[in-house]
Order: sequence, then C-alpha cells, then structure tokens
Amino acid sequence: MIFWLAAAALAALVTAGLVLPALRVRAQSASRAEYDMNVYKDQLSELERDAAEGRIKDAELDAARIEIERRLLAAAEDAERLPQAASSDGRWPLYTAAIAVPLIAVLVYSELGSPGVPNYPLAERTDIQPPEAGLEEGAPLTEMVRALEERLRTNPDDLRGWTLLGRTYAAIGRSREAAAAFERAVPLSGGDPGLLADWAEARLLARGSDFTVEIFNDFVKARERDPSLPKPWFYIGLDKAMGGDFRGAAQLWTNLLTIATDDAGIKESVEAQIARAAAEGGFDVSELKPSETALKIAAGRPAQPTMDSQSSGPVAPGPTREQMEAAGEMTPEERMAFIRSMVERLANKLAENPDDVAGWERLVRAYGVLGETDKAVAAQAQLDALRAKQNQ
Amino acid sequence: MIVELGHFALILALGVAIVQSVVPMIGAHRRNAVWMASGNHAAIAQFLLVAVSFACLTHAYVTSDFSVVNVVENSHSAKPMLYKVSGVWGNHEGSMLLWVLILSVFGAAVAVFGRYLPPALKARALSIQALIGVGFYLFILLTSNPFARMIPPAPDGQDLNPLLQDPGLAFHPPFLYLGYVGFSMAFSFAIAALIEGRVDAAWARWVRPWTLAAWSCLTIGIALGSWWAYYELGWGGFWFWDPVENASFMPWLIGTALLHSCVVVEKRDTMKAWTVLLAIVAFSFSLLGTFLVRSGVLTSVHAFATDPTRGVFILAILLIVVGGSLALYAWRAPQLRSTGLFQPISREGALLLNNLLMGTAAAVVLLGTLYPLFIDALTDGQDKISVGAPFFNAVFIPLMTPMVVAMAIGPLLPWKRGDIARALKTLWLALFAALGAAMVAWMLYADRSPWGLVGAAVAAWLFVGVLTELAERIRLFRVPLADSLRRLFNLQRATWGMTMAHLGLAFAVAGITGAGAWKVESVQTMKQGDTVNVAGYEFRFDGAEQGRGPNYLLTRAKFTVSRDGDFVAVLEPEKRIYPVRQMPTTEAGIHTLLSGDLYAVIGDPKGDGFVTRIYFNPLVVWMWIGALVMLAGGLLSLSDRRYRVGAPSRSPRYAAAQPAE
Repeated sequence: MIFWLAAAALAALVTAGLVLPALRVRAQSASRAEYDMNVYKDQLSELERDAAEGRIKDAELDAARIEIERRLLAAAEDAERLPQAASSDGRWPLYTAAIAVPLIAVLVYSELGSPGVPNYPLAERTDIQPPEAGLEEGAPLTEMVRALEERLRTNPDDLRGWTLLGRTYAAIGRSREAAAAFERAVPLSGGDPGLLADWAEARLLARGSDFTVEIFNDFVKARERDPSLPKPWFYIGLDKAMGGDFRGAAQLWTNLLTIATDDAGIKESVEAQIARAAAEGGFDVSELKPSETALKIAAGRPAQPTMDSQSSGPVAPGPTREQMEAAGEMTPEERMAFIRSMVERLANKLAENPDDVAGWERLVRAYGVLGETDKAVAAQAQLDALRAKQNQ
Repeated sequence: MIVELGHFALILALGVAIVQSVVPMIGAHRRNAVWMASGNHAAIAQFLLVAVSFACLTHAYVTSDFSVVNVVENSHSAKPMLYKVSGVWGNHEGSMLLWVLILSVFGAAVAVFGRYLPPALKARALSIQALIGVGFYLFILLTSNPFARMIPPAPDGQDLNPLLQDPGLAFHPPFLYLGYVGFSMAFSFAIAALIEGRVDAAWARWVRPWTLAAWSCLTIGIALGSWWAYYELGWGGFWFWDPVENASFMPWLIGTALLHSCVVVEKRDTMKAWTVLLAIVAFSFSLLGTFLVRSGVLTSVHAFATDPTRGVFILAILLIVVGGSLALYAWRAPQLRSTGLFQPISREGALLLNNLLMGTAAAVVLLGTLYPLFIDALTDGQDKISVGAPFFNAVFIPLMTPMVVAMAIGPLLPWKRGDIARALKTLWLALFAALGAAMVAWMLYADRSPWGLVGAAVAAWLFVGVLTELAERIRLFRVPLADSLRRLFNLQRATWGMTMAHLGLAFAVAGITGAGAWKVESVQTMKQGDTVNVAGYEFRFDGAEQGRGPNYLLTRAKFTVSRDGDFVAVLEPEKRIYPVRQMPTTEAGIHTLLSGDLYAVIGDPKGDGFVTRIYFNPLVVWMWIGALVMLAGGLLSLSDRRYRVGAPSRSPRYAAAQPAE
C-alpha cells in the first residue's frame, strides 16, 4: 500500500512536471540572431571589464573590440533578415503525455517488476543466522571447513588436517584454497607423490587448466615417485594434448587405463579422452597399445618411466591412492584382508562381466601376488579363452 | 518496497525521456514555445526520477538486501561500507544506472543553466540528450535490470570482484563516466546545430565548458585507473594498452582535440564543421568504449559482462548513433558557415595540427584495439593475435613526439597569421634544456632504449617552452619586474589553465619516459634475511606473515630498503585471497620518491622462501603529478566563465598588404 502511495507520488511529480510549466510558458519572440547579439554584447562588456582590470591592453584591446563589433554587425543584419516568431498553441501533447506516461509506466512495471515484494535488509531478516565476520556461506560443509581451519591455525603441522582440508576444497571446486592446503600438506608428508599430484592438480584447475613449468614438473615428479598414480598420467597426457601431440597423449592415457583400477569411474572419461584425441590426431584407437613400462607397472613390478613416454610409456593400474593410503595405515593382517577384499570384488565384477580382458589380467596378477597359484592359473585360463574368442 | 520504487522510478524516467525526445524536437521545428520549453521540465523530472532510482539501489546495497539479484551477485555482508556503496556501480547493471544518472544530470544542467541559449537550440539538444537516454533506459530495463528480485532471498552475497575492492577503483568508474557522458553534451549540441544548419555564438560559448568538464573528469578517471593498475596488478607498470584502457583513452584523445578546436570556434568563429565532427566522434568513441567494456567482446579484467544480447543491444545503439549522426553530418555540415580565415602558420594552424595528430593517434589506437577482434571474427576464432605494447609504442611515440614539440611553439604564434621563425627564436632556452636533458639521460642510461633520450629531451623542451611562453606573456625582463608580476597576477584564468595543462603534460611525459624506458626489474626467490640490490637500493626481505582482513586472507611480507647503509623505507606488499570469489589480488608495497618509486611484490612461496619481484620505477610519480596538474589546469580554465575573442595581432604592414576578410 505504502509502495503504491509512493509510486503515485512519483507519478504525480511527473504529471506536474509536464503540465504545470506548460500552463505558464508564453511565446517568446526573440530571434536567433538576437541571442547571438546578446552573447556579443556580453563579450563586449567582459572586454571592458578585462580592460578596467588591466588584463588586456592597447593594441590587443582594440583588436578584440573591432572583432566583436564586426560579429555584432553581422548578427544584427541577420536579425533583420530573418525575423522569427514562435507560437504557443496546442498544449495537447503535454496533457496527453502527462496522463500516458504514468499509465504506461504502471503497465510496464507490472510486467517487469515484482509489485508488493518488500525489502529484505539483512539486519531485519529472521530466516538466517546473523553472519559473523564470515568468509563462507553457512552450509554444514563450510562449518566443518571453518572448524578445521581453526584447528590448523593452532596446530599447523597436522598433515591429516591439511590433507582433509585440501580434499574438501577440491571436492567443492575451490581449487585455490585446495592448492593452498595441499601446499602445506606436501612438505609435511615428506613429498608424498599422491599429495604432490593433488597439489599440482589444484593449482592447474585454479589456473583454468593453464600449465606452468612448475605444475608440469610436479606431475612428472609425482609419477617418478609412484608410477601407479593415475593423476600424473592423466595430466601429463593432457599437457601433450594441449600442445597438439594427440598421439602422445592418447598413448599416455592408454597406459593409464592399463595401470589404473576401474573403481574411480575414470575409465569412461579416459576412454572418451582417448577417442577425442584420436579424432583430433586422425589415428585409430586400436593402434594404441599399452607400453612395456605400463604393463610392468600394472604387473606390480617397480618401473622407472621416463618423461619421453611415447616409446617407453609408463604405468598400470593398482588400487587408487586413497586405498593405498588407507592400506598404508593398517597392520599387515588388516592390509592382507583389505587386498583380499579388493581382489574378491574384482573377481565378482568379472563374474558379471566376463569380457573384460584388462580385468582378467589384473586378477591373474593379483592372485599371483597373493600366492594363490591355483586361482591364478584358473584366471589365466579364462583370460586365454577370452583372448582366443576375441581374436576370432 | 524501496527497491520496487526504484524500479518504478526508472520506468517513469523512460516514459519522460520518450516525451522529451519527441515533443521539444517537433516544437523546435514548428516554433512552438510551449513544446520547446517542455524539454526543460522533462529533463529535470528525468534527473529526479533517476536519482531516486539510483538512491533506491544504493539503499539495497547499504542494507545488504539479498532479495535483489544484483546485490547478491556483487555484494557481501562482510564487505566494508565503502565497497558496499562502490559496489553499486562496480558491476554491469549498476554501472549502466550510473551512466544514465550522469546523462540525466547533464540534461538537467542544460535545462537549469541554459537560460541564454536560443530556445530552439536548447530544445533540440535536450531532445537528442533524451534520445540517447531512451536507448540506455531500454537497455537497462530489458537486458540488464539491476532491480530484478529473487524470492526467497539469498543468505549472503557473492562479493564484489576483489580487484575492484580498492579505493582507487571505487571512484574510477564515476569519473570515467562523467567524462564519457560529458561528451554526450557536446554531441547533443553538435547534432542540434546540424539539424538547424547553423552554429550560434551561444553554441560555441556552451560547448567549450562542457567539453572541458568532461575532459577533466576523463583525465582524472584515466589517471585513477592507471594508478590502480600500477599498485594493484603488481606488474610494476601503469599502462598496458589493454583494450579497455584504450577504450577510455580514445575518447580522451579526441576530447583533447575537441577542446582545442572549441577554442578556435569560440575565439575565431571558424573550424565549426570540424568541431561538430569532433564532437560526434568523441561521443562515438565514448559509446564504443562502453560497448567494448560491456559487451564482453574483450577478455580482460574489466569485462565482467559476457551476455551477448547485451553486446548486440549496445552495438545497435552504437550503430544508430554513429551512423545516424555521421549521415546527418554529411548532409548538413556544408551549411555551417565559418567567417574567420587563417593561414597555416598561426595559432589556428597549430591547434589544427594538434587536432590532426590527436585524431591520428586515436585512429591508431582504434586500429590496434579492434584489429585482433576482426581477425578473431574473420577467421572464426582460428587465428588469435594480440596487439600489444610494442605496436602502440612504435606508432604512438613517433606521433606524440612532434605533437609535444609543436605544443611549445603553438601558443607563441598569434591568431590568424604567425611567424614561426620568430617563435622558434624565442625558444632558444627550451632547445638548450632539451639538449641538456638528453645529455643527462645519456650519461645515466646510455645502455637503455634511445626513446628514453627522446622522452627526456621532449619533456624538458615542453617544460621550458611553456614557461617561456608565460614569460613572454608577462614580458619578463623586458618591463620592470614589478610590472611583470602585476601582469602575472592579472593573467586570465583560462590562460593559467592552458599553461598548467601543458606543464602537466611535460611532467607526465617525464614520468612515462622514466618508468617506461628506465625501469629496473628484479625477480628472484628470497628467504628471510636475503637482500637484493636494485638500482642502488638494498632490499632486505624480513619475512612474511599470514593474516586475515575483513573479507580476505592475506600474506604480508616486509622489506626494509636502505641505500648505502642508510634506512630509506619499509615496504609491506600483500597477497590477498578473497575466499568468496576465490580470487587472489596483489597489493604492491610502494615507497614514492621524487626520483622514482621503490616497488615490491610478494609472489608464491617457493621452497622455504618466496618469489619476490622488485622494481625501481624512475620518475613515475611525475606522471600522477602531471595528471593532477592537467586536471587543475582544466578546472582553472573551467572556472573562467568569460567568453573571449581571439583577435589577430594587427600589424599595419599586413593590414596594408592584405585587407581583412
């Protein structure tokens, strides 16, 4: 209600502004040249004032006076030649406008505006907690982050804390903060390759996927330290692809598929990347074979990949880093159980989907590692049969 | 409710602007006094409505009303009050509202102060002014409405772009817009003059002060923006030939030309058509600047609008204004009569030379700014080229050097016809100063860019040249000193304005030369306690600490600077991270000396140290001083409301040989 009163007041202002002056104006008869003459007369009197104040002298004064008088004469001629008269009839456009403008404004406003919506000044709102000098929105996740940051302020050497903070930020897409947290975590962990890769990834994403030498080198370093990590393979490949070396990129990603376990759901996206690289580079995906190094890594034997990985490409799948880390904190018994459970899951998966050659390969290796020779032989038989079938 | 009232007021303003763009124009054509006069009241009503509208939006920002989409997108409850207020125009929608507010301020000013303008001229100018307004009101209401609401309201805002949370930039856009929109005044009057087919004496009297006001605002706006880039972006430079900077620089160049040709129209009643053309071009460049920044066709820190419909809308406005006005010009300009004749070597000739060089410079900047866009568009994004500082320096410096050289000579030439040999003879001291400055520069920086020598020489030439002209004016050493002093105090303020503006440019050239050609830069990794020697100053890194600002996290480093063991200054550069926007910003640590700036930036941690960048920027402070002196000159000249003629110096010899026109 108050709104419409205020709006009416504004509209009335407009109406008055258009109508009232129209009632007062009288026709003026001064011609254009007379306005010019007025200007020149002003100029003359200013000239006299300047002269009186000593700003202009003698010759200059004379010259200026002559110049103005010359223009004044010309204007006077014009004034006689071009008499102009103005009328003041027909005020109807203004009356019409005075009524039409507010009416149309109300129509347009009801289309564009939100009539009746009140103000929501923060100080008077009851639907949210009054924020403290807050840096984050009030979601539970950010509450947790805040608590964590608080804890880290008092205890800045908490590796797990920094790692968790980094992962959380990375998960919600705040790459810069994630990078800052990983930056603290990496030295505390003694240069853990997984964290190094996470740090490099966060920095890369924060830069909008624009590689720097430092970021690239960190990925390379991480891969040297732990060739089974998927992230370095992926991003080193990305760097190649961005540099136009699509075949090299696809080769790296093929290696990655060999190396990486499938549970992170990266398989589809990596395969899609390979397909795209193949399309861009104009080669056939089937030409790509995992490199020796990759197979070695996949087989669980240590390998030293080199940077130039076209020929001697790197790594192969294993548990994801999280699983490895989790495994690292277990007792030997727990670790064995953990590995067995993973192998079991793989076996179950293959029972459902027996056409997965890479899966069978991994299973064979895993049984070998666990020392379960019988099962390894059985799996190898399955694998051989599958390969034979596919080669037909 | 207040927000909604602001919205309604803006729509009313659109209605009033439509009336104002039609009725006075027809009234002027039919010589109907009432219709013509309606423009005055409409202009004032329009101003009041937009002011209400702007106040309502500001209220929403100040009270953090997060039911307004614009506030959510550009404010945050924890933001300091200054930036809540500056947030109103620190974003696309709000800045367009500021645009129309300023437009309406100028319109109302014409209505109130234009009593001595012929009613028909005034009515037509107000009509044009309103027509521009209509375009922008529609643009705001249809594509960029700052009053859009969201229900339920957001819990908090997304914060203003942290780069913009800075005192220098808080006031950069308003000044820039005062400048841009100020040229709309000259434009409206130019179009009105074209429609009428005549340029009145009153026209000339009006256009110069408005141009001067716009030019002064644009000068300070550009200086603020450049100052901000200098200390905030942390690159140690102040001008990057960024397309957005160019967008504000082109109107300035043309505006400077317009200012000088206005002087000729006012004093000598000639160069009218040319001045009208410059007025059209100056405002066209202002619109182009708005288009470039607002459409998102450029990728730079300023381009926060990326919605293509907006770009197309502004492009349409631009095409209508530029195309329409130039067509009108082609049709009507031949009817504008000029009476004053002049010879090439004369004050008019010198001002025309200024116009040509300024115009060429603006054209070059335009080419460099748009060329990458054309290439990008023509090759469908396949080829991306960037035109950077090397191009601009290569073409701009050779254009500006003769201009600055001529700047010292021009004011010494009399109106109508002059004697260049005599003027040059007067400038012997300036020539010595130029050679001396070049020698000193050569001794200090022989190994650096030769342009440094040219810059030093040109700055000294102009500085001494301007003072020589002043000395000539007061007849120093030719009449008794007391007499000279009396003349000095009696000088017209407009003369002082010119002298100061030209001196300001001399300072600015010195600063640009120093910081451009002789900058010393040092990038390294420093651990606590490390020192590095830059340009004779010892910078000791005293470590860095983490902290927290009102709405950001910061890393603050400390450098102690000494020279030959004597303490000089402590620099505290900061790196800030604004978590809400996830953006880092740099706050350079700067200590200003008249000989140059000590400038330190803290980068990322590396190992157990930090990457640091340290610069010594010689003479850079003179650039800001120069800008302030130029501004002072502009304001001083503006305060001289008298309207003067420039009469040729009368020599009996010439008068006999060559009768006046």
